[in-house]
Amino acid sequence: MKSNSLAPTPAGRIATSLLLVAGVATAPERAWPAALALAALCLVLTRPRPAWFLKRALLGLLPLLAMTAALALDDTARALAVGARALAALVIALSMAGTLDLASLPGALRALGAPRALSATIHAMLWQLEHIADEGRLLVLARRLRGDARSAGPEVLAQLLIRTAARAERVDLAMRLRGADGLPPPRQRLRARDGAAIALGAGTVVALHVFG
Amino acid sequence: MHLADGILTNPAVLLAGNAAGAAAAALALRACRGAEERSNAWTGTLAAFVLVAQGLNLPLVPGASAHVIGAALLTLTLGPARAALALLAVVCVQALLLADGGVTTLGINALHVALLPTLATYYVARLLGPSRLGLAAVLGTLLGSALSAASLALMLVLGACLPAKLTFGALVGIQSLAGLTEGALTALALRHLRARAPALLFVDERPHMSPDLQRQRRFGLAWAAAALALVIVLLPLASRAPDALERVVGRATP
Repeated sequence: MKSNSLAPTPAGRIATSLLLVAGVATAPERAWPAALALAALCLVLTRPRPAWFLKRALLGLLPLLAMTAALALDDTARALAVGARALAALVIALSMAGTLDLASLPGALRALGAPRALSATIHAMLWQLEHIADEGRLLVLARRLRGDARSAGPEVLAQLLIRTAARAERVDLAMRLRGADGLPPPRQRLRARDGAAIALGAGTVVALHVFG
Repeated sequence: MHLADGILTNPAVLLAGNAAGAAAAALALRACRGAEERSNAWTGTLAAFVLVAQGLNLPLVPGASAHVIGAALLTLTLGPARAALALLAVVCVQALLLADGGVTTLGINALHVALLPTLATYYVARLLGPSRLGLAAVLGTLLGSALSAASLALMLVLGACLPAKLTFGALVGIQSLAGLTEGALTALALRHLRARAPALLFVDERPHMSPDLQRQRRFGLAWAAAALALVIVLLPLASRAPDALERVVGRATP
């Protein structure tokens, strides 16, 4: 999502997303067409990256299909209604997730009242994520170049953990030497535009439950 | 084992599951209170490691695979409270940024992915002692996976009206197999860690149980495990025919 002074802050987007997804997921089963329409609207408004969206949607679709198939053994019509509603919830969750970036998550969670230890852990996690993914790729590549076809196994896991620990210490030390204090970012505050987005989301959920 | 949004249609089950997960998460967070910021940094690093490692798929049977959860590895390197916190962070990031697991089922997913496996591994490790970390990893992961799968299956049966036999059989069976595979993988990884970087392993500072108490508890655990295994194996074979009491009641009522 492009930067826009009218757009909700990340905390507002998370709160709106939680409200919409919870509302759709608990809506009456007869409201599945309205839920799907809402999901389509979210998709149009947020415009997530197509490749990312399709990949995540397919991963989420598989367990959903399995559960719908299990429900269909008893009642096919109900299974389709529940499946459609769950699909709408998945599309809304993914659309909203596409507007968030990793760096804003810890501050946004603090603004919504998440415990400090949790947001600090997520902050530290995001510092290290790319480095660990790099280490994993290098490790697998090194093994393949040495003729070892096993790219996943206990020894790889242990080596990745050891290298993760060593690299994390180097990265942490380098960042602290450059002035980073290792503390999570300050708590964000909800703005008026977040209130507007949350109110709009709440109104939509109420309409879905009453008129859907 | 991430449950998506919209599957549980019974609001009572949804609320109860999330409340249980939230309560257990609060206990874990309370146990981590007062720790230094650097502890959060190390916890976050291992949480990132687990998030990456969860991308690794283990082949189970031809055509099916499962991904590691990492609870046993985290518990035996960070301790139970910090391991639960790390996995909570992973579950939150997966739900909010990747839509992997629902947001209305965050508490339920936290219970099944972060809390039950961690507790199972910790208590099995305490029971077996520090010299049997590998066995603790295998049994703890198996027990944690089976418990989580059974709990999730119960919620699906009560909250989504899925057929009980199919749900319990499929979930508990597949997750137990995945747990056994992950446990073996973790045990082998721990062997490498012990040889090359023993400082990374968690040292439990609480006093260990006396040998007599350990032996008694091991006996009890062995019987409980055997009973659970029997249930898992024999449940799908249960007869649908009414038992003697049901037959008598059926004949007595007009």
